[in-house]
Amino acid sequence: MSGFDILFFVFAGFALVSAMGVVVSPNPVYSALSLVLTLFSVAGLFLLLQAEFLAVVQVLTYAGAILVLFVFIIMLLNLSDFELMEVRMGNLGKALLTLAAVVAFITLAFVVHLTRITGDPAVEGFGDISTLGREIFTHYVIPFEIAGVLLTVSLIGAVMLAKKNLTKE
Amino acid sequence: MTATLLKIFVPFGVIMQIVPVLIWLERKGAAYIQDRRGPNRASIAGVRLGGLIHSLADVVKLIFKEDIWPTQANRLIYALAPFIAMSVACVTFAVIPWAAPLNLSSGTMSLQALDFNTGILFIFAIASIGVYGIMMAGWGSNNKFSLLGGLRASAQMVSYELTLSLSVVGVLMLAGSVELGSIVADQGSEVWTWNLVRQPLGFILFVVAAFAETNRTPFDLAEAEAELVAGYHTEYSSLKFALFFMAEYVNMIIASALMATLFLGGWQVPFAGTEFLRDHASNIFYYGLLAFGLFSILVGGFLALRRTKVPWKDARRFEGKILGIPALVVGIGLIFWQFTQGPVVLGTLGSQATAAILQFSVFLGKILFFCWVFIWVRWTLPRFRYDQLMALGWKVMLPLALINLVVTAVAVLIL
Repeated sequence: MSGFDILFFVFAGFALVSAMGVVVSPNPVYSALSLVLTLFSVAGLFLLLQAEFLAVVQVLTYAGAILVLFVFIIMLLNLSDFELMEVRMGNLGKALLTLAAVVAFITLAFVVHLTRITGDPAVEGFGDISTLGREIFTHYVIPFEIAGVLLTVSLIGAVMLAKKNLTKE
Repeated sequence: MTATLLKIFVPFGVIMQIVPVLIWLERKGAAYIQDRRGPNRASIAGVRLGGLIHSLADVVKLIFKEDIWPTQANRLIYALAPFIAMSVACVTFAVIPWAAPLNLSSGTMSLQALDFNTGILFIFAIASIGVYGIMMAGWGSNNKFSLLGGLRASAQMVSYELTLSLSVVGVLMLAGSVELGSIVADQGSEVWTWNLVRQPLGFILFVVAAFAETNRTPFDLAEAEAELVAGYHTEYSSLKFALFFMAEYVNMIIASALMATLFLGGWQVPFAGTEFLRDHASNIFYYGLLAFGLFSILVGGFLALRRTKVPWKDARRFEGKILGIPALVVGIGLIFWQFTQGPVVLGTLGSQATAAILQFSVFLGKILFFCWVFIWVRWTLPRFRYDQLMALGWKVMLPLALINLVVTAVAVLIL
């Protein structure tokens, strides 16, 4: 087993364990921090695939910006254990949810099993910034611009919702 | 393998040695700005080194302090936080180039631990993780002051990260690369082609945003002692506190190194390109040692002949002699040795090493200059109010950064 294989298993193991932690841990702060660890491990997997830019951007945007806001909100709300116990449901609800989760998991596994990803091996310079930038601004420019507009719209919407009594002031 | 290890550990060692010097500089600088003498009591056998021994005493004190665990703290997160803060601060050095790449027989060797394609983005990515250390410390301590400090820090760092990244994009466009090595090489050795001249607005925005990112005054709301005791590290003691303390200074050094690399030509020696330095390496070596000898004689003579104004009754009376006479001897010896031997002819490797050492020293000088600016500003400006901080970040600096970006983009397109 080469060093790359060992690193792959380390990162994959960390990703799986911490992803489990996101779902299982009762404390939302632990969940959010586990998610950070998951994103880090996935960034490590990207690095092993020579996708340096993807790995760095993953850490920069998800772990460094989005999840900071998640953790910020969770800490600001400072939920006590009592409030966290509020969500209660009957046995039937639990059973239904479990069933739905199992079905979803099996479907997903089946789809992954069926999908055969084929294609040419990565070309020279794959994943570096100049190639990626050229692709985004030539080939994929319209989806890129639409994504930008969508994000702006959602941002303005969030500000409008959050801003109270806009007319009175 | 050895080269890689050296490239990792030599800069790390240098940085770790700068930290106590910076702490000394901070105390002395603060003292002289406030018209005081600053630390001058701690001594080893009468030698005080102008207060430097105080930093050593501080380290000993921090190591031997009791390590206090708050009973209501979340132990895991409380313990992890200082390590995250410190290790994140240290990892960033990997991509900073320390000198021009060496031409070895086996190929060129860049003098940075990690020759990463995504250079500057790696630094931003790692630096954006640093906020977790502060947030976890604030939340894990289970203390209202700490929590408020952590929240303030995270909001501030997320806000100013935008300006920090945007102000650099102009530099990246000029260099046409995100690799720090090529950004430095692109700036050349002439002072007027440095990015400080080409991107003045970007430089100012970057410096201000870097102050906010490192949580230094005037942006140190996360530890505003008048309101929050000590903010996120109120509950920390002993070495865990020391880790936060060191992380602050290491972050300062990184920010200074980035300022120097991006805007002040990094390792470029002003008006002397790498080729020039390598061609004249023997002379530089010769006259450099002579100048060092002369400097040593002057300083040693001054120290040895100076009369103390205070009639000390202990070993401190001989401090000038203890430091000055060896310096005098070393200086005279060096000059004598150099004069009798004449300039040494250095080989290819030797001249490259001399050039690299000179560039490294110049880079270190630039870093120390910016560190001094950090200290200078801290003891000159008062702290912002929180709403002022947010207004400055979002309403002034972000639009300015965007304007800078557009103007640079148009200029690059036209020229």
